[in-house]
Amino acid sequence: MIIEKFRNNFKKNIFKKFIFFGQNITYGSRISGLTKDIEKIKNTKIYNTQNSENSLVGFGLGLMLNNKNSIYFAKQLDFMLLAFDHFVNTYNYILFRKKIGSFSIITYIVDSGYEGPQSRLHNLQEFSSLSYVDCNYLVFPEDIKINLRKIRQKTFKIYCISQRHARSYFNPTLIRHFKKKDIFQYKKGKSGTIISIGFASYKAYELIQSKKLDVDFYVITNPIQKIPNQILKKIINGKYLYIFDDSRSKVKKLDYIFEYIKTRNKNFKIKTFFRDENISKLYVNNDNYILKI
Amino acid sequence: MNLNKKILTFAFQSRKFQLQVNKNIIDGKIKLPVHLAFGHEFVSALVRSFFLMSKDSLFLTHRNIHYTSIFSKNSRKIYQNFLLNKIQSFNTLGSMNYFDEKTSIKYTSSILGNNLSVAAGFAEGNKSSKSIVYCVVGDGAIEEGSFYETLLLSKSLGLRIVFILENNNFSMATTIKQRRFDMNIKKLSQSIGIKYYYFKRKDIISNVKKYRKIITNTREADDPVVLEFQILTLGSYKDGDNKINYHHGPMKLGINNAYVYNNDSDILYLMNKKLSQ
Repeated sequence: MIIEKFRNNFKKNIFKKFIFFGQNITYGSRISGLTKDIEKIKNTKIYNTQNSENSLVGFGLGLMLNNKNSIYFAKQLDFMLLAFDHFVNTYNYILFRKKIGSFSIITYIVDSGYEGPQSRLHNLQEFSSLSYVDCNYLVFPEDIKINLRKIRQKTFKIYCISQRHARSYFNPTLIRHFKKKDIFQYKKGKSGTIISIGFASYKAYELIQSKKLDVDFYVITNPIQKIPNQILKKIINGKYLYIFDDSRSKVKKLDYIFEYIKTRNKNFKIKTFFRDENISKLYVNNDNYILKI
Repeated sequence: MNLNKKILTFAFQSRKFQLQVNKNIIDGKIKLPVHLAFGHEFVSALVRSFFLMSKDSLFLTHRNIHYTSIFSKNSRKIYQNFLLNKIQSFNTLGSMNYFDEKTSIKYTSSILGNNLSVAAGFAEGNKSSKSIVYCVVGDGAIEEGSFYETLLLSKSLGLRIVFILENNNFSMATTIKQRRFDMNIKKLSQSIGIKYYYFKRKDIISNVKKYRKIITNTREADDPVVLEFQILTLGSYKDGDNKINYHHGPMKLGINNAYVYNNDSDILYLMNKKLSQ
């Protein structure tokens, strides 16, 4: 399961004196299994805390300012809206300091649907763009393994897991990792290219498998990273490009690809699979957007 | 140097620094926002006098010049860089987010209540030492939810934080009475199990004694404490029939004025009268 792969890789990247904190991390479901067995990680400090999201993010940044390493486990990304002041103001002050610690927030994105307005918040792009925080989708076991290594870096990261797919079994083989771009290639093919952002990768991968598509398949785990030119050049040599993005963001970060391709080949076939932006359908998380393929 | 003289020296040092900055603003040499703090010098001088520079840390608000002027050795140099002819080439965070890598001032914030939880995180990281984290807030910032949240967090985690509440009765141009119910900070603090002390503006001598005792005890405890100081910010102006005591802009003062007013309404005048005896 994705969540198990996360837990195993997480433990490997923790060194001593890390501080873990968050609500419900040592009781009950332990945030739907996110912090299961966290007490077994040796030489760390754990605080099961009060429900004060804004102050807990400030607390983590205060530790970071004091050159200490910490991780805040939060129930879901929309709770972090309460802490945006810290993402923008506090973090961008701390960046001036020469000696700082590592701070990460690990949370779910509630993409399972039917949670009302909370389901609306599947917008990691905006979080990343406004704050300059290093935001990462944790998608398949191989990219999870690589992205979690960044926990040790002395920076501020947000990691998100899909609530809908946390207990799914996906394990595609990694072909290539474009290091600086957080782009992962999971399939090689000749007929076309599929690029997916974050959790849309699950659906894209299922389609590739079921329809036996002979495509290059790239997964973007950092929502604001740009596709390198070497990939773009390769795309226009194929027959088509499909782009998958199941986020709720109106800011389509891959728009620049259209421009790149259309100026070079007007007849190139690009299809996008975005969520229905009709406001009445925004709260429901069915996959109708993808069935057209 | 005896304690009273030490406190007075710091207070005058802070005033002198502010007068120079005040003049630069009047002369149009500084354009970025500086929140002067004439009338706040007693509390900053008091904090400075019992502060262990090698151990303790300070978390400030946008109105921080009364601290930066006596805590940061580079304050003169940094303020020089705020001058119009230098600012273009200087990578600055300004006065409200005062930044000096080599000082005990670890953080300053222009956002009300923002520094509270950051101070808490820093204090958690300092738990093993006998150091104190001082976190300054105003009577406006305590209206933010983060004040309550951080008090609760500090008490729950046993953090050694001294919350310095500078109550000047104003948030921008509005008095406490004009904007909210006059809540009881003592009861609020006590409801979370946190000790609270009030420092009346005119009780200079007893305030010094009381403060010394509190800091001595706090250094040995694993607990936060709230200290509320009554402040009269100098630099009033008229808004219709209302007299506004909140001071943001410069005052018509020369750089050789020791006092803004030659009476007890100026804390420096009052301090000199009481502490010089």
